[in-house]
Amino acid sequence: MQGVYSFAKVNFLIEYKYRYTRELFKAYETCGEPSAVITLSDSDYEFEKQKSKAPIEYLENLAILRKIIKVLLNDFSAVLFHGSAVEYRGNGYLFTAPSGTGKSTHARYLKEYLGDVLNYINDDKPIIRVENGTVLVCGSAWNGKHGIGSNICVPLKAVCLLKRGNENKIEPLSNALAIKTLFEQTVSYSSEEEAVKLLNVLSKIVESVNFYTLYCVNDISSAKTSHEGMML
Amino acid sequence: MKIKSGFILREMSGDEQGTYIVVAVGEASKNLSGYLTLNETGAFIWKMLEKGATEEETALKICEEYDAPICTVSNDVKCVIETLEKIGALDV
Repeated sequence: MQGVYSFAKVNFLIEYKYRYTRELFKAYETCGEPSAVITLSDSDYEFEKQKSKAPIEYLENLAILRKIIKVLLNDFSAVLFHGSAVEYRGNGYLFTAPSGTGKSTHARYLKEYLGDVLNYINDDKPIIRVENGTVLVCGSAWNGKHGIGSNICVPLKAVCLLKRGNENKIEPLSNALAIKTLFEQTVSYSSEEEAVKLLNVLSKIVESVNFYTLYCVNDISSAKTSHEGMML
Repeated sequence: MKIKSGFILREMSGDEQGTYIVVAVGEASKNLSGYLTLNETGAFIWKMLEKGATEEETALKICEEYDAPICTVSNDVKCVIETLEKIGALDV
């Protein structure tokens, strides 16, 4: 099987074997001309089998993801980022934290608090792309266990590091911690060329996006704090 | 002194103070798996060493550049050099 799929406004012609992959990618199908081709070899499947005991039909998409990440970084100044991204009035906001802190929960509180004007972009692995000097946050098919997201790309206004707290409080994140957060939550590099490209993308993000820390209690009141503290 | 190959210095300026980071690739990443942060002066020292300057030459150049007394400067240079030695970035 094959199809053309758009991730972060890049059209990939992807060849695959399993229906699970087709279902996962369905919302990202496009009629556009592909600008990159992704095919998997036997060794790519083997690699995933070594990494996980899950049936291969569920792992195929990860092998594809590994290849897409390389193309995105090398040719399109784009990186996969671990976090939950939402869109509000045309801008993107990205919440990040170690797994289990409550990124998805916070995104859900925001949805409850703001209603229809807030849209989920991706709940686990959005893509950040620098296009013509603008930093964009985009959806991807890898959107977490709740499977919520949409195939949109909007300017990234802020990145917010979530922390549990006894009261809701939002404050700017220092430059040093912003850099640390970026490194911890994004892709790695395997060559000097890739490292330089990654640093170019990350430095552009640090330069043009606002960074915050949100200390939050685990209820909907935290949505008001992030809305008023960084989304107005 | 020389900076070994495989180390990359990059400015990451989110605020007015310059922040620089160093990452390593290939062999070099054995001693530096994440990244190292340098301030403006640290990056200046790095760039001097990259050109092959000695510790003394580097210190003197900084005195000129930042109009600072030699004693404080030599200490800073020593500190940065020690850090760079720790991550295996220096060819002495």
